[in-house]
Amino acid sequence: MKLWTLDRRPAAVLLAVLVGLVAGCSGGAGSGNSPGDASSKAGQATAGAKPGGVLTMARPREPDSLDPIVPTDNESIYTMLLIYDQLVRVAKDGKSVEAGLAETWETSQDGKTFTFHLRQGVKFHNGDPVTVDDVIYSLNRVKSDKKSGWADMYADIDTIVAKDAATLVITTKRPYVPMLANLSMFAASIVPKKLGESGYDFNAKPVGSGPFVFDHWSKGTEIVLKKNPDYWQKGLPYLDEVRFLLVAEDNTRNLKLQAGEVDIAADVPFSSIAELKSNPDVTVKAEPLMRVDFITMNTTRKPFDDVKIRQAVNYAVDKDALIQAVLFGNGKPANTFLPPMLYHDDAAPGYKNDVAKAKELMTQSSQPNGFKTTLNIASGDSLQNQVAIIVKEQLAKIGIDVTIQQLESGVKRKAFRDLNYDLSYQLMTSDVIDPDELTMFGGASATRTFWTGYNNPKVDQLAKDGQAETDPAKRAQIYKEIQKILSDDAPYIYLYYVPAANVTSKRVQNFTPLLTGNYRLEEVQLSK
Amino acid sequence: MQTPQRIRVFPRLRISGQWNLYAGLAVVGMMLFLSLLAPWISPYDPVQNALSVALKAPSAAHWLGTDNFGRDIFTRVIYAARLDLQIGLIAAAVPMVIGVALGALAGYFGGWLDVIVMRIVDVTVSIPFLVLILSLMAILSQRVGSGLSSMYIAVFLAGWTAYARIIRAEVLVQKQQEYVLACKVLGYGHARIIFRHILRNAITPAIVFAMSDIVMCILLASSLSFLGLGVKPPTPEWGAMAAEGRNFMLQAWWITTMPGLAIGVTGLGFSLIGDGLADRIDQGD
Amino acid sequence: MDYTSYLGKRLAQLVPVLLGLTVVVFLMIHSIPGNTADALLGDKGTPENVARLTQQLGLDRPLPVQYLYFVKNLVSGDLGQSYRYGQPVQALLAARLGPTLFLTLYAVGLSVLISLPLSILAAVRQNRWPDLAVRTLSLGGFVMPSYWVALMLMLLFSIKLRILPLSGYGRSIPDHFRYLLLPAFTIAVAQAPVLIRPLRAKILATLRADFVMTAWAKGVPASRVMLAHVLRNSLISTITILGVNIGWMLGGAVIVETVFSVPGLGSLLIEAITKRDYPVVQGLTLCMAAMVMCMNLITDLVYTVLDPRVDYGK
Repeated sequence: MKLWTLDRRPAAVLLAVLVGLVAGCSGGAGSGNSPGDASSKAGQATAGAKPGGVLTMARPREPDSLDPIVPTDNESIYTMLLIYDQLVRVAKDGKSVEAGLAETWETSQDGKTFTFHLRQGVKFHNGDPVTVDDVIYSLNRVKSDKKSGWADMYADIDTIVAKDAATLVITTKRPYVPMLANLSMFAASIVPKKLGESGYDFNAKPVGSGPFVFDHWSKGTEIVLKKNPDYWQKGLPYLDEVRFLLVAEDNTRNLKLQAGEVDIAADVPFSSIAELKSNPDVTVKAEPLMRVDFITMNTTRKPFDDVKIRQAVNYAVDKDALIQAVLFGNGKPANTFLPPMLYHDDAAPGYKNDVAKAKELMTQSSQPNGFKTTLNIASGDSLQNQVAIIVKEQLAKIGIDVTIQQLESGVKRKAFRDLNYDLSYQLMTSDVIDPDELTMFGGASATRTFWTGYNNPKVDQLAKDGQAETDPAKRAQIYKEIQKILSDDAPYIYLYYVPAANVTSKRVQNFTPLLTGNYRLEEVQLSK
Repeated sequence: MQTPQRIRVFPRLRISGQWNLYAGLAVVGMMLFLSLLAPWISPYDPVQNALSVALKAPSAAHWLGTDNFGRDIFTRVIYAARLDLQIGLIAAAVPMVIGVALGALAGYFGGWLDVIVMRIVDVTVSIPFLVLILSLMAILSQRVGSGLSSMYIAVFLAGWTAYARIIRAEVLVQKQQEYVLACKVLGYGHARIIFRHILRNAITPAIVFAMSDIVMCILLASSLSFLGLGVKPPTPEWGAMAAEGRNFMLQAWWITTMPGLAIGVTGLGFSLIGDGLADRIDQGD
Repeated sequence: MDYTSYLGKRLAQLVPVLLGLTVVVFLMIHSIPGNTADALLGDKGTPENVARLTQQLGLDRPLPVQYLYFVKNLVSGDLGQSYRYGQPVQALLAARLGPTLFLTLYAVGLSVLISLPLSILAAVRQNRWPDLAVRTLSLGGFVMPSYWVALMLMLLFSIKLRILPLSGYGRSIPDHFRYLLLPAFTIAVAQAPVLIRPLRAKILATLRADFVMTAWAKGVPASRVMLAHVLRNSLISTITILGVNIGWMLGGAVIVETVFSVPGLGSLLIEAITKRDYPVVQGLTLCMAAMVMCMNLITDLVYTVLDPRVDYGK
């Protein structure tokens, strides 16, 4: 998941998502829909579009790292998903996984053995063939390399072995439902064993087997990817070249798009969406996203160790006002720590704005006369800045004096992870279709409950149970309970679920960010 | 500040005497008046949100419009004047005191003191002033926190050099004058000679320079805030306000435009005062 | 004294300043709390790793020894490693030098193009309305913040009129000229007032000088008088003033590059400061100071060539 990054994705489809429980889990033969030929897939040539061309996309930040096992930020993730392949990948509907380097797969009845049949004839960008050994190496790497930031998600894997040159078998000690979802993650990208073992720096020059080949990264300026002519989906990608421009200033991305200097502007300010929608030259892609924004409270510090105070601030913050003023109506109040996705509890009450109740809770709390505190936000992020200013004022009504502290995002993240803060604006997005990832990050104590310091053994146990429960109905119940506990104990000020805000010029065809926020640029075409 | 330089605004019009001095004083006085009496002049709060009136164009109710939080821009501009004028004055005055003292001592005594001071001046001048301030602030922010305090210290550390150069040159001339020799004969102490006699005659160029220095300090502070390194929102400050308005340039140009105009008016005022003072000195000669 | 020994002397004068500069920059960075080895290693900073790197970098040596290391590395072109990117600082600077040089020279060109005609106009129509108009404009250029001028130009030319690119650097030389027009103009607007005042005075003096009067009296057309004499004289002072102000312009480039997203040294400085990438801040400070010194030196030398009246014996 990416924790600190802006992303956008489509979530509206949630009803449908419920159906999708099947995705990660149930036994039986895997979906074998192998997109061996592009013409059979969504990427059919759109009328008026033609292959080739250079696509320029303006993004607000540059990646932290392009080594699959390292980063947690969305720019890294979305870039890597274009360069590397995984065994399986998130399907466009956001409800299931589909074939990647594995053409087909089976899950045993007990949910503990996963067998993958590898696609043959795929080559890495350096010309070497992708072998079962590369896959084993890559999965072991994310599982146990010291640099890996994602080892926890693969810790349940017991053995990874090659049955033959085209078959891989993964076993777990207990039933592990999120397995396929986790294997679709960027962290489980397949890299060449030969390079990896020689100490190769995948961040400096990534080598994968994905649709685009890394060309160069001018630090602080741009990243350029070139078409992979040997990509296993014949006919894709359409584009010759992709350029990711770093344009940090929010409005400049928007303006550059309108001026025709870029083809896609990522994360445009919500203030401009209404106006952009009326502009005939551009297309606004404000689609649902598996993302939740909140302000984390450091429960290891006074006074946020007091649950009454945490509930009081939740009642004091008016989410609807935030959505109107900052998101210009594009968003929904967050009612649980899970964004709209599989097992999200739509019926959970959340915290409706209620200043009287907030005041009452304050008088019962350890700080009946209010207190001073500090809210960390990322400098230069206009969304966080505006939210902070409004939250400051709303909390002042119940006697809390908030100082807004702007920190460079790396510095802010360090303070966050060191639990060296009072309040911090954070967000999570899911990289997978299964709620396990966000639950392990935002509910369980492995991350000190998303660095709030909140620690609840009951939630930890439920999260474990959720991973092993193969009955979808029971599983839904488990995640519902986790959401309820976290809502009542409120280690977060729940803010909202926001959609993606990508805007493209009219010549961009087929640009459709997934619910996970990434974009399959291999399917994008430019019209003449 | 880096290079002593100033712009003469209007030619000396012999007919009207000191009109530019008075006009400058009037402009600066008006800014001071507005900023100090802001709570009585404006019915609005400079920080409080009023989301229902967000992004309104200039009108009778909101003379300069409102920003994305519904805050009245005119109110914020005049409250910001308090902070910006204060920054301009302090950031010019303290380096002036340091620079005048060091420059006078260096010029008067010469020798190793002069060598050290002038070497520091040489090094400081070789680094672009804004770059120097930014690097100093980057380091200071680790010790005193980012924002205003590190900006002040950086300016105090670097800004005095211009004054030292100006005063040293003047003192070198003055100390050859007969009255200084006379003082020495009378047995006056060095301190008395420097600070009561020489400085009285050497200080005027520094004062004239200080007027444009104030303008440059205000520009510096607002630029730093614009870059997110100075005053932080929601505190009203001209540069920070302009930066906040960037996201709304298309829908609400006034958010960014108005604070810039306020800086312009203030700068005009101080520049006119500087001209007037320079005229007065020229006439005196 | 001949020209070569003048050059030698001029270079010798730079030595103490250069030494002072390295000391100042070294001490500045050294005064930062925290461990360089720790920062470089980031997440990989186990105590053993930190200890090893500390030793490798000589961070356990006495301060003067560390300074000597620093100077030794500097002489061999090694400015250390960026905390953020893990790349050599000199490589990052080299990648960003081009746009800043282009922008600065472009701004110099534009400010001369703006200042010369305006100064001539003001001088010829001394104390009449064109003169006053030029002075008012200069004042505006002087007191308006450059980020504000940049945004207003952007609003007008890139957003409303859509005739110039909004931001960036472009990929070819003609592109650079287009992309950097507004950034360079923004710097020129701030620089022109500094040029106009002395130029106007200089032109007034030249116009009154005997040789111009003589030429005039001989019936040489006024325009030729202007070009032949006035321009040559004003160019010399222009170069001097610009040389002295190069630091000012580089400072302006920091803001302007940031507003217009020009991938130059100035925007790198702001990035490095917000990311607390101190080796890059240090390298940039040295680099920009070196640029200022070079420009001052070149200005001096050009000046002596252009104006043979300069006696470089002193």
